[in-house]
Amino acid sequence: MIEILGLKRFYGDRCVLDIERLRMEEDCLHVVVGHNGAGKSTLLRIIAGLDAHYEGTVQSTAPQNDRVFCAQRPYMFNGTVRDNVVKGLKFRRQLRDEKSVRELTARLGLAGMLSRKAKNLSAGEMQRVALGRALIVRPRLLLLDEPAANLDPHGVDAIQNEIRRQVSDGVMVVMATHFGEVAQRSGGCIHRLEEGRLTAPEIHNVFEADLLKVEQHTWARLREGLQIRCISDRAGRRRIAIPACDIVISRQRLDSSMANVIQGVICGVRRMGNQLELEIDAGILLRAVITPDSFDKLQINVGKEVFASFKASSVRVL
Amino acid sequence: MVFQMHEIFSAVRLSLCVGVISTALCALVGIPAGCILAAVTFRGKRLVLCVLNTLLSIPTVVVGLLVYSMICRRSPLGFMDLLFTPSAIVIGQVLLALPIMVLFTCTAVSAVDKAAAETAITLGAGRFATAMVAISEARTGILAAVAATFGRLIGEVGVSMIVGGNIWGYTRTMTTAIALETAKGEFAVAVKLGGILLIMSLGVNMVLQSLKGSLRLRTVEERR
Repeated sequence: MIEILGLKRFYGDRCVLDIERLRMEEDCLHVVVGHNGAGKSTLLRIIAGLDAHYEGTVQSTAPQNDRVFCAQRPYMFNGTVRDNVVKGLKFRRQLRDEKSVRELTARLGLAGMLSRKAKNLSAGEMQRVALGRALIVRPRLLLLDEPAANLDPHGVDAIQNEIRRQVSDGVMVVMATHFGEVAQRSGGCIHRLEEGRLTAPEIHNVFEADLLKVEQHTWARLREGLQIRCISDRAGRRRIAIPACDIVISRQRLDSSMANVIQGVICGVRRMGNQLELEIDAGILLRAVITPDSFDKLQINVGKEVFASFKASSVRVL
Repeated sequence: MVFQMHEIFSAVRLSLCVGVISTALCALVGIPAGCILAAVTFRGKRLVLCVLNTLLSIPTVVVGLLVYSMICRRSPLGFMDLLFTPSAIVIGQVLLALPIMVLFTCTAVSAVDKAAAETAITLGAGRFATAMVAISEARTGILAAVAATFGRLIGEVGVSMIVGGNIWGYTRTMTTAIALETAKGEFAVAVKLGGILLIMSLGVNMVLQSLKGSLRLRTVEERR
């Protein structure tokens, strides 16, 4: 667990980080989202213990030498990829287990480049080496700064799978990214930073729900008689969220692969930038976003009955 | 031929021995000093760097004179009878080349990306291991410092002449021999000696270059 209280970090007299209170629980993935320069890296470096020039308190249950930070542009030591991967073990005077080195490098797609000079790698390859180098020492807290920034889609998948694997192995992972989409997809707990301050994450349709497993499906019961399909291994009372842009609005019940269809009445329309936000009363209040074009084409308005459909995988369990 | 073979051997041997010993002593003191200088920040650090930079180009005869004044009979260290011995040349050469070693090492270590130390720390390196990482990452630059030091020492005349005294078979180095032969008008001999000196220098630098390669080789073997 990480607990931050009254954290402030100044560069000169510019305040780049100002966090009143932030608590990150142990057993899940945390994603810090924000634009470039929002203070994500600074926050991660402070948590990692690499930056001590801050005000306030930052406490972590993982001791300093159990936290590993992977920079966005990782530094490669002189020597080969293999030298770099096992570096942490040397620092910690731990014996290296050849089998786990081979397994880890294979998972990250580094198997074929172990004897290449690390400084000659591409940025994406370096990021994978840096992740491998961090994981080999089995940290309790892994801090990743834009781990997928320079990767091709294949590499992104490899890294995301690895992150998921680590989280399920009980490693606490805090990841910074400027891609909102990456954050949404990661299924982690999102912390949004804007100019050094935490802001409410852009998630809508947050509900309390009871998660139940029926056969192989997971259902989230929002209230008596209203349950939706979702994908999660968790159970019990949880908060769920349905991203507003993932909801498809139609006049008729859609025959599609989307597992969830909820009937309701439009009770409000608001302009949000160049899109429209609909409020749908379906026993719960759902917000959906559509374009003005679609709004006209569907010939809907306040008071009309519509169907809101979304995939089970769109439902996020917080 | 006026200049005998065994005289040449004696001069070659002395030049090499004095050069290597002085370079080794410089490395022993200068590399740690350079690393520390790179690591610390204090008021007046820029002044220190500026002075070191000036000392890079100090005339060898000035250092020779300085050492002479310290070890001659009437001086405080006169009782040690160091004047006109190979040891005196080593003392003078160490003083002469120490600024080169310190400054070049400092520059090489400072040039290592700050991220190297941070990466080491986050991977669990202690203070000593982190310092070693900086040195290891700067090793090409440090080897260049060693090569530059040796280069300065093997070719200097001033210190050897003033505190060594150019004594036949005892403190006559290649460079003082060349100076003497030129003064005597034995031009051909002086040129030959100059050629030998160049070849010696080439040999030592080749050894240093191969050392750079073997450092890498050893890490390859270690891994197996």
